[in-house]
Amino acid sequence: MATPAAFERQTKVVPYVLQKSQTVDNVLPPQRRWHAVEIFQTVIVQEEKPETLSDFFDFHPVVSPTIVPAKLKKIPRPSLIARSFEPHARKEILELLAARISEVRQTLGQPGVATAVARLRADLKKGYEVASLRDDMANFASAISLLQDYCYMHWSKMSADQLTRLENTLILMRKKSEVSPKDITRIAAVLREQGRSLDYPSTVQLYLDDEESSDEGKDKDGED
Amino acid sequence: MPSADSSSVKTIFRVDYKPTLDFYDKLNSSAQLLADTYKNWQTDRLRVVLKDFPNRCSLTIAHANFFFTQDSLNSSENEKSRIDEVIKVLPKALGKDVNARVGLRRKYLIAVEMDYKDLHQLVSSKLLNANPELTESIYPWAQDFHLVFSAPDAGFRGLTLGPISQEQLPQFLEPDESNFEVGDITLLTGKWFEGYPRTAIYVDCDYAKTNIKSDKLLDFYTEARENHKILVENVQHYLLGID
Repeated sequence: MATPAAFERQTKVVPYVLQKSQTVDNVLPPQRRWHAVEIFQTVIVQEEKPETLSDFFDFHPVVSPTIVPAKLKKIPRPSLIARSFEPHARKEILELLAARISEVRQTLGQPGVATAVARLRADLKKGYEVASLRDDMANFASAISLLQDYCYMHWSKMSADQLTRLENTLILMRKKSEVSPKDITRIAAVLREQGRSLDYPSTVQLYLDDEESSDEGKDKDGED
Repeated sequence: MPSADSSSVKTIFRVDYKPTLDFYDKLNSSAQLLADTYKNWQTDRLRVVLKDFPNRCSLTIAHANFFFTQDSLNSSENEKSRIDEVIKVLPKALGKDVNARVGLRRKYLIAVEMDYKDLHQLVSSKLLNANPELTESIYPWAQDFHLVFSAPDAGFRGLTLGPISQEQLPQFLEPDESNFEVGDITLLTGKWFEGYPRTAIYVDCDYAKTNIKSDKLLDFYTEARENHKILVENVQHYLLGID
C-alpha cells in the first residue's frame, strides 16, 4: 500500500465537496478506497448549497431570449440566373483578372508593379488552364488567350486609362449568358485598337510565337 | 426561369387536431365525401387512406390528424385543388373547429445543367465558410453536404438545402408508398426517378403554424404557398444568380 507521502507524489489533490449523505465509503468504489483516506485528509469541506440550487446554473445562467417574428425579404433579382457551371466559373475568373488588372493600375510607376504583373500573368495562365479543359468554355479560353498575348506585349507601356478600358471589357463579358465567337472577334478588335496606339502592328498579326514572347518577357524584365 | 411551384416534387399538407372519441363515428362518412376525387381507399378501421394513383397523391384521415401527400412533378395546380377541397370538406365533417398545428411541407428540386462536381463546388462556395481548414481539418472525405436550419418557433420550422444527384433522390424524396399501386412500388427502386433532374439543388422546407381555426385554413394555405415561393426564389437567386 502506498504511503501518504508516496501518494502525494503521484496524485494531484483535488478539493472535493462532501454532500449530505456522502461518506468516504460510499463516494468511491471499493477498489479505490485504499487511498480514499489520503484523499479525504485533504478535502476542503465547504458549506453545502441549498438543495434547490443546482451547480449547473452557477455557470449557465437561465436566459429567456425574446423571439422576434421574422418575415422573408426578397433578394434583389439579378439580371441572369445561370443554371450551368460555365457562367459561374467564367465570372469567378473574370473577377479575379479584373482585380489583378486593377492592382497593376494602382501600382503603375511604383516598385510593386512587377509583382502585380507577375500575379496577373500567373492568373491568366491559371484561368486559361481551367477554361481550356472544358468544352463549354472554349470561347472563353480563346478570349483569355488573346488577353494573355496582349498583356505580354504591352503591359509595361499601358496607361491607367488603357488598363481601365481592359477591365471594362472583362466586366462586359461577365454579364453575358455565353461567350460567342462574335464576342471573341469584338475583344480582339478592342485589343487591336488599343494596341495600335502603342505602335503595335496588330492589324497584320495578333499573336506572338513562343520565342518572341519569351524574348519580350526578358526585355520587359530587363527594363525593370 | 422555372417558377418555385414547378420545382416542387413532393408536398405534404398536414393538419393536427385534438383527438376525440366521436371521431370514429364520423371517420367513414367523412372519407366518403371525398370518394369522387380519390377512386381507391384502404382502411384498418382506425384510419382511412384515400388514394389517387394516376395523380400520385393520397389523403390519410386519422384520429389526431389528416394529411395530404403528393409525389409528382409539375403538379402544383392539382395540389391546390385537392388541398382546397380537403380544407372545405374535412374539418366540418369531422367537427374540428380549432387545429393544434397546420403545416405545408414541400421538397423542391431546382434543376441545373452542370455536373454534380461543379454544382457541389458552386454551392459550397455559396454556403460554406471559404476557410479551407473547414473541409481539410474537419471532414476531408466529404463528397456531399446538406445544410439544415431549424427554428421551432418560426414560420418555417425547418429548411434543408444542398446539392443533390439523381442517385440520391430515393433517399431524400422518400416517396409515399400510398401513392403507388402495388405493382408500381418496384418503380421506387430507381425507375421512377429517371424523369427527374440529373443534378439539382435540393430544398426541403416546412411552413407551419399552431392554433389555427378551421375557417382560417384556406388563408393559411395561401400564405404558406406564398412564403414557399419567396423562399425558393431566394434560394435560386442566391445560389444561381451570378450578378
